[in-house]
Amino acid sequence: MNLIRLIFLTFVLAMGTFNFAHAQLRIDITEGNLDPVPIAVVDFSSDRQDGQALGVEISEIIRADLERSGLFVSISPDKFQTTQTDLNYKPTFADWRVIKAEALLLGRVVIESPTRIRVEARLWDISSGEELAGIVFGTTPNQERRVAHKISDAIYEKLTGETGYFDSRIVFVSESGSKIEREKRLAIMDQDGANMMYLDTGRGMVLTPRFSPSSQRITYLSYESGKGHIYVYDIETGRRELLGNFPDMTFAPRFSPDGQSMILSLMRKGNSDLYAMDLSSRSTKRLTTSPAIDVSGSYSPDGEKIVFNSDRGGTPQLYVMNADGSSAKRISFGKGRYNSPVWSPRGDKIAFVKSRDGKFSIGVMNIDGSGERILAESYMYDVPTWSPNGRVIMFYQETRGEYGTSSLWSVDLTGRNLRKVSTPLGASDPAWSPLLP
Amino acid sequence: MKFGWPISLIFHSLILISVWISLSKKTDVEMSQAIYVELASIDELTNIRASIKKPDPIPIEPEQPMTVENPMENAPEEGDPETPERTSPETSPNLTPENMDQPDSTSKTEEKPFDLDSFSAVVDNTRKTQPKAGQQRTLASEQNFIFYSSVSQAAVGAGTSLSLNEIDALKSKMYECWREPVDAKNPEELAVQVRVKMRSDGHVQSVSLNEPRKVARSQNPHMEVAARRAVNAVKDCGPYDFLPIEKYSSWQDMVLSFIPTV
Amino acid sequence: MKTKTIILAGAALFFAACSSTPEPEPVQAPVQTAPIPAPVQTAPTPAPVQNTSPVTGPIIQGPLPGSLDDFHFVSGGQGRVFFALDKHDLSSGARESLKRQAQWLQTYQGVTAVIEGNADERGTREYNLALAARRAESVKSFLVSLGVSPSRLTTVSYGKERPIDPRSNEEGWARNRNAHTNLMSGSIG
Repeated sequence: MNLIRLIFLTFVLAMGTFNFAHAQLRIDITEGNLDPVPIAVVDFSSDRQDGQALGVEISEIIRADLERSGLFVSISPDKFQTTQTDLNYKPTFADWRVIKAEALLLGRVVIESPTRIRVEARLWDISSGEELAGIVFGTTPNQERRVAHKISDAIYEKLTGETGYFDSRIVFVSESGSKIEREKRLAIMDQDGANMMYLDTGRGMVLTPRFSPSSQRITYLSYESGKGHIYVYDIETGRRELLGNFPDMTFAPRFSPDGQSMILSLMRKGNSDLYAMDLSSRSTKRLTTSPAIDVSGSYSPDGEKIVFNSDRGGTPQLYVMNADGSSAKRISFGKGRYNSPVWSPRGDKIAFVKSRDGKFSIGVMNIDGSGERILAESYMYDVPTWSPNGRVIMFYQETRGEYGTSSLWSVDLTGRNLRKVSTPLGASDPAWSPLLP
Repeated sequence: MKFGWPISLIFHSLILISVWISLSKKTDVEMSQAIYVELASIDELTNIRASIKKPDPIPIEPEQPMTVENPMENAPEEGDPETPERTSPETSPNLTPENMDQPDSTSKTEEKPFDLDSFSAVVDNTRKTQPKAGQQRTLASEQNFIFYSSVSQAAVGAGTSLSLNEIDALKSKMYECWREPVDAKNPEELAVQVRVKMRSDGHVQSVSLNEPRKVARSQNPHMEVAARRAVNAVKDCGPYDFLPIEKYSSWQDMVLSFIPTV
Repeated sequence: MKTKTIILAGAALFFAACSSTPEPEPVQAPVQTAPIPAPVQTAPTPAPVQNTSPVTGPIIQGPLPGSLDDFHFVSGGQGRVFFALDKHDLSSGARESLKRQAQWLQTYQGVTAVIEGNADERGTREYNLALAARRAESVKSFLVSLGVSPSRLTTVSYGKERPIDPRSNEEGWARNRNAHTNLMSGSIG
């Protein structure tokens, strides 16, 4: 046996020498396409009729999720060639290659009891015949949307390398009425617009809700007290609470990444400065002291830095400082005014609103201000919010004029795939939740 | 270049032999690079209670007869896999200690229905455990990892390298098939080298990662996807019949570096 | 918006009541003062109309002294002063108007006011809240400098949330960049 191994080693060596002698051709491929991945999502099967309906619904939600991301194109089930869609057998890959599918999702729904279903799915890579993921969820039958979103997240992660964002929610301000008589209510919905419901925030106008990155709590600005103040609302319990006891206006709240503290702007004698507040002790620490406007603070995901909006240089621009308020440094230097910065949960980008010549755009830049990129432009865009994976930015648009309305939009970090997010009424100030547990 | 032909002949037989050895002994690295098998992954839920069965210990399969799916015509002189003493489990003491250490799992070569229960049992472990060699081999066969001895007959030794136009043609072909990582974090880390061996008719003979360890060790969550996309791109884009046959020696063995634009 | 209207109407009734009868007679008051639209012809003209007369002695056609209409009539601009784009400093016109507001407020010492800062829609929400707050503060500090007790004045910023003109043009935006002195009830001095 040792002899064989020796021979083998010799061969390997010989191969190496041989290759070297022939100066193996090396080519750099630097241009690839960015086309969406064609994926075939087969209707989930089931032994039972009610299970089948559920299966079809789940498959449709998954297709819609993937399509909406812009990174996938779902192949129409009419084109499917194969009848072998049993989850427990290897797919006939050739049938899927014919229709140019690159990934395949098979699944089934098992009704275990009237209150219990099990959803199983397998994700296949058609080119290699590799099984990329096997997924099993047990749940109650009314949770099918979440199960579908969870499966979409698993697919997204396997095929892009990035965590998904489909099992998440959006809190926003639902708007109705004309521009000068507008009514605003806080509402929450799934990331895809389903399951919208209003949150009871009491009387008074509400603005700028923000999600805690670590819990099901939101914070927002309310005029319930007459003057604007920050409130914290627990979505699970419905409990709301005035944050702190400030005679002056508090606004522009955002949670720290650990959800334990908050950054906010406090208005004193017409001058707004940034403060950090510990949520358990309610102690505050002043972070900026300039006589200029300092608003819209947003923490980096490691909690070390804060990006904020200030006009200390004459026009509103973006600044980054340490979390203790030291060494503020301007990072935006393009032409125009910069506002509403939000640090990406991935840490590498800052989203902002830029306005110039009567146009508003949503853009991203690196955290040192380099690499500015405009993703979308319109008359009025504002309040960008990141998807939990830092790949998508949602924001709102207000259209011009007397009959102007507000609506939610999302765009990919690359500037592709600008889409309207449908809401029953007007909508503004979106805030994306973290991935649900 | 007089020696090209004999060298090629020797070389190819060496490949065949080494591949054969590696197939039967699982010592090869080259083959196992190409394909990963990750059976499954599972997401834990808190709100939705996952009904995954308690992971049973992964059943270790009993010693199975060694079978090879695509026995090659000119199989090397090394022990015949079909010999009776090797197929019967009783004779396993005859096997080398190496084989004893690694229970063989070639029984998986046959496509059998997946058993969900056992599937559930292994899902939890798949993230940590590397794919087994036996599983890789299963898929390798499906991938048509066949070595054609006929290749050596092709015109070898012309020695001329590809022209810029020909390289551009290859690059534009790859553009169609290679999906770049879109805005991944730290894209500069995601360059992937793929080793491609071609048949003289432009069909892909084998594709594998040139630096599998670099890929495996990468901390970048996009690396696995980047590597798969690069390998798939080469595989799916064939045949490369536009490459000139007279220059076969220059393109029969290539390393393509897929470098995402930052 | 509804609440605001109620407050306004309430304030109007209240002041009217105060001026007509020294001792509050809230029941009777509304009947008299209900015709708010009455001063429509005169009030909208922001031009400096005889700025001293309403304070010193009521004019026959003018609104009831001490009423909200009276305040608007005296100060002009419906109690609003306007700002240039992105600015919070007071123009000379705004100062004139605020001087009249101050005089009126000095006459009716029992009245308190909330100064509401507003911005046009061409700014981001949070920044505009800060900008509009500055405008409100500009007005407050100017009124204080003219002798109005700071304890009678509070400020609130509505950012761009309370436009008075729905149009998205220069005229509409100019009207929406303002600070509004909103009279509230208070003890009558």
